[in-house]
Amino acid sequence: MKKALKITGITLASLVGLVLVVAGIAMAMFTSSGRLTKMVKKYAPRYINCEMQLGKADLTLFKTFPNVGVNIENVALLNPMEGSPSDTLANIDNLIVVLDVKKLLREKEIVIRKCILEDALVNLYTDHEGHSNLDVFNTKEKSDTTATFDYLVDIEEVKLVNTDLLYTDARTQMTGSTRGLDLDMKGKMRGNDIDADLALLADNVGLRIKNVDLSLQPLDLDFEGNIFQLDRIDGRLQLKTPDVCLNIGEPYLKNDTLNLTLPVNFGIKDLSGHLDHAQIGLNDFLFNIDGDMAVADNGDINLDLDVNTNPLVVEDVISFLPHDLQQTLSDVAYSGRLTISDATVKGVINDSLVPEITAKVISNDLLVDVHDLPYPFQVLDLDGLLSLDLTNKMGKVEVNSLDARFNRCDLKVKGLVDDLMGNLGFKLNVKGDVPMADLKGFLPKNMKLAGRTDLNLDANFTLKQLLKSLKDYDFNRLVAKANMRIKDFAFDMDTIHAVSPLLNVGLTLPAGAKEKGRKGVFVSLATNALNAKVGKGITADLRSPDIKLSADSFKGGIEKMLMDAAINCSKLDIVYDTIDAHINTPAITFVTTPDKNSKRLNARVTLDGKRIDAKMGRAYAVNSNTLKINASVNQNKNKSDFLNRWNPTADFMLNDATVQIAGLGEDIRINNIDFLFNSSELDFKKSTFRIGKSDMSLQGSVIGIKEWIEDHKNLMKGEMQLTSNFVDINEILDLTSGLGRSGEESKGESQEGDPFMVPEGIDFSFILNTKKALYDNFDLNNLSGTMTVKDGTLILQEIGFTNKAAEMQLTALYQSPRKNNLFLAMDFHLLDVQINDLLHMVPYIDTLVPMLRTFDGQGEFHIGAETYLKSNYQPKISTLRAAADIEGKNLTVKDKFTFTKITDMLNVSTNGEYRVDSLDVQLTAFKDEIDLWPSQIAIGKYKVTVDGRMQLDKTGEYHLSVTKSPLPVRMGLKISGPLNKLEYKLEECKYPNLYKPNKRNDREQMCFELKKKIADRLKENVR
Amino acid sequence: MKKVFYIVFLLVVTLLMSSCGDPMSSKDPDVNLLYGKWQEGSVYERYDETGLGATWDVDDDIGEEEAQLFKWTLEGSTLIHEHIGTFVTVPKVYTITTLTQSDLSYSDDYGKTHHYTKVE
Repeated sequence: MKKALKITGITLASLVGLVLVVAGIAMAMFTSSGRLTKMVKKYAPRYINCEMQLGKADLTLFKTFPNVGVNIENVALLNPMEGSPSDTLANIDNLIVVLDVKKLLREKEIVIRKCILEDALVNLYTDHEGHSNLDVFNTKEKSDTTATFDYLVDIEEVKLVNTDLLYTDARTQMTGSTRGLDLDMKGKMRGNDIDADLALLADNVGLRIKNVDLSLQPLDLDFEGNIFQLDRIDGRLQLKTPDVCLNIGEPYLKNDTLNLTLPVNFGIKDLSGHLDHAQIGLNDFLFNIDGDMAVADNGDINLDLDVNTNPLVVEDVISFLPHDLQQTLSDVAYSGRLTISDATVKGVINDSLVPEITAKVISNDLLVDVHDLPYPFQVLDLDGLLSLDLTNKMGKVEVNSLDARFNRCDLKVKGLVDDLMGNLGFKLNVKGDVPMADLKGFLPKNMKLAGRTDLNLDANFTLKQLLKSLKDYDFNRLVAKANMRIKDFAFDMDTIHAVSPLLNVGLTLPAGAKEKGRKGVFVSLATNALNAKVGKGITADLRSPDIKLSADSFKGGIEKMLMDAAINCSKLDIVYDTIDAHINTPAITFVTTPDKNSKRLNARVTLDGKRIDAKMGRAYAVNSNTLKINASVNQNKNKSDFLNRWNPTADFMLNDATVQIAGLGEDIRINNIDFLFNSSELDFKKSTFRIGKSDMSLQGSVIGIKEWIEDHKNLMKGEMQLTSNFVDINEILDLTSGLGRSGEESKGESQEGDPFMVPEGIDFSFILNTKKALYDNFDLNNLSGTMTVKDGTLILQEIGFTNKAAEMQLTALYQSPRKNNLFLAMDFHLLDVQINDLLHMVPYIDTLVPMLRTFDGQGEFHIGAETYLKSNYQPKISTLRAAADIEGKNLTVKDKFTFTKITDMLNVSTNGEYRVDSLDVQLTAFKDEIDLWPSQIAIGKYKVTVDGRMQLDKTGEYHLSVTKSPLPVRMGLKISGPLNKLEYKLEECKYPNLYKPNKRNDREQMCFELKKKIADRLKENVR
Repeated sequence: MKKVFYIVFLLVVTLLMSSCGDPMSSKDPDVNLLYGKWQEGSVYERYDETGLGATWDVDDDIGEEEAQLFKWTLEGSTLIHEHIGTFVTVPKVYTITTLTQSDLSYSDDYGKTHHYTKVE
């Protein structure tokens, strides 16, 4: 605009010179048209040094009445310059100059009243050196003239009618054009002072300075004021155009309506001015502007303006913002009004610089909708300070206060919104009353929150970071710190549900800012009480928990989540199925290690607790001083059962504990247990405990747990080393009775008197090493061997032990297919046994071999037996099978009366001794029949073969044959009847040749072979 | 005449003895008749062609599926049961006195006799 004024001033000044020439000539003579034309052409070169073409010059009264004017047709000034768009300076169809004749004649003053240019084309050009094609006036001639006339240019009116004006300044690369210009300038010019009124109407005005492109179409401009010394413009300018376009590298105004009311104080020479209470109306916007502006020699426009506005419609304001800024805000929708006050526009406008803008921005009831946020910000009341540095594309809003409603949240915000034209950033403090449910849109779909919190949030992030983070649930890009006090807190995620009446939450983003190495979000939770449920089974109550956790990678659900949590609380109560556990001062850690390639949860959990009190139903109770658990789970979603789905591994360490088992009179007191459990193995690394009177140290492993749980047909196998100083086997059997049983038999707790039911589905081997053990009434020393429990069968494998009676080896097998159908088999070897002690230790042997009680001394005893038992362990006699082999030497006979009676009847001489030299007998028991197979007894020089049968009702029938005697007679004796009332009767010798291989008959041979088979089978297992 | 009478007397005695004597003494029991299941009260015995047998007593709450096994041999009229236990062998020697399609009787050296009836 300044340029345009400059051009206009220069043009007018030039024309005035031309008018002076014409006026001088006109005043000199009133001649005819031809003479007038000649005179103009003659004197004009004195004042104008360029080529000039003049048409006909006439005096006119009609156009200038009541004054006289000179009308010159077809005036052309030619001043070609290199670079100029045309060699024509001006081409005027009609130039009319009106002179004040009175002043000229009376006061010798040349007063030009009017100057009218009609249908003119003016081409103004300034080259790079500053030479203008307007430099065509000869100042010397002008001074000569002034010597003759005291002239005064007192133009009352200058009119341009339908003029096209072109201006080009090569120095500043400025071009301007005006088409269809009608200009009516009235005023007075005294010397270099002009008192002018100007009305300008142009069809089209265009101005281009480098990358600044301005067009107005049409332009209606009025100016009232003065131009001092042809330089200083002081007046009031009003400009109207319905269509203004401004492009400064990018479109700023486009077909907008512009109304300017500018109190102008502008210097043409220095192209500087001052605006006082200027008003710019742009469409519906009204800008009140005060300040200074200047155009430098290099074309830079310097502005220092103060601006205030009326309330602005935000959407419209944004449409006028720089393109970059609009792009930045493209993800955000706005509506409402805002007011800009105390704005300043300071700086330079050129092709690379744009002034800095600061403004106080106040909004009421503004709505901001960030597309990717779940809710819009409503009822925004903003008091902010906007700073725009368009040159450096920097902008910020200092938020002094911002009240907003976000769904049901009432928020108060302070801080800074930065980088308005780039990556929109926020450094804000947000306080508010927030319903936790409103955070739903920020959370993974499978996560829900409830409650209401007082929020205090310090945030530092960009809009892109926020949106990206919300999209990816990756919060490492954000910097934020929040404190929340949540009432009636509730959390749901997958199968996890947690509630707390009042929860204090601290939140830090990124987590690494709180603790080095952490990722995602860091959360600290503190409350008096927190209740959590996992699935349908686990319920946990945490008292005064202090939870610190970092979590990352929320998008894939809990399986993909990277979590590192530490929980400390005063007490933890857990209920799982029938397990009810209470742990004091537990310290829990929970760390997930997501698998990038598959969606499954991998996690590690540790627990360190004290004074644990746990119950499993009514049957089991555990109290422990300390408990440590180090566990991990690796999820397999394709599996449904617990072990296969989670593949747990857990290391349990229990110290100073007591286990109570219902029905077991004694507690199990655990000094320490350290065992590792996983789905395939239970590894007892270390364990020492007492069960009743028994102390034990158990080491070993159990395998096949998962397979056993999947299908009880598979065996759970264990290999254990059980060492102890003392074991009460009776108590142990009671403790383990019924494990693994199914169906009716396992329902309810074991009743006193129930038989021991061997666990099924397991294959456990216990390598025993016990210094002393008690079984039934036996004291067993140095007990060693293997006890195997295999799928319903209990096997004592070659258990060796000693007691005061003998060295013993026992192999036994016990099965319990049904309570009322137990099976017991045993293979018992007693070496160097004292018969008295044997009968005392195993009274049942007296039933099988009643005659043993008549002897005393040391023997070797092998017995094998099996029978089914009733539930009270009474044998089912129909199933009794037993065999015994007894060898003895130098046995003393205690029943001297019977011995004497028998030997006397058989004519066996004992020499007064009650002694048997040797004894080798085989017995079998079948049902109620106890058969003594023909066996030989040596008494001195005699050998007696004895056989017989005894019923379990204590009635028997025995036969004794003397098979070797110094006497010629071989007597036989039959002893029969009840044991307490035996009858003795001599009879024929029954086995004279049994021990004479060459003389045996078939029956005796068969008998002998069967005897051997009995004995061999019994002894084959002796170690 | 006396000599003739004496000869006739011997023939008669011989004839009488052959017709009224123990039926098993003249003919060994047919082992094929032994196969199958026999019952004596609550006690059952089963003889299989494989030489194995089984016995159980339902009064002791034991069925055939829980029966105890034995090996058996029959030579002449001597029936031997070898009851095979986990750790022991318990032989029993019997003499069959009757073995028909429906009846089995045997006794041991102590005079204990068992009478079974075929059930299958």
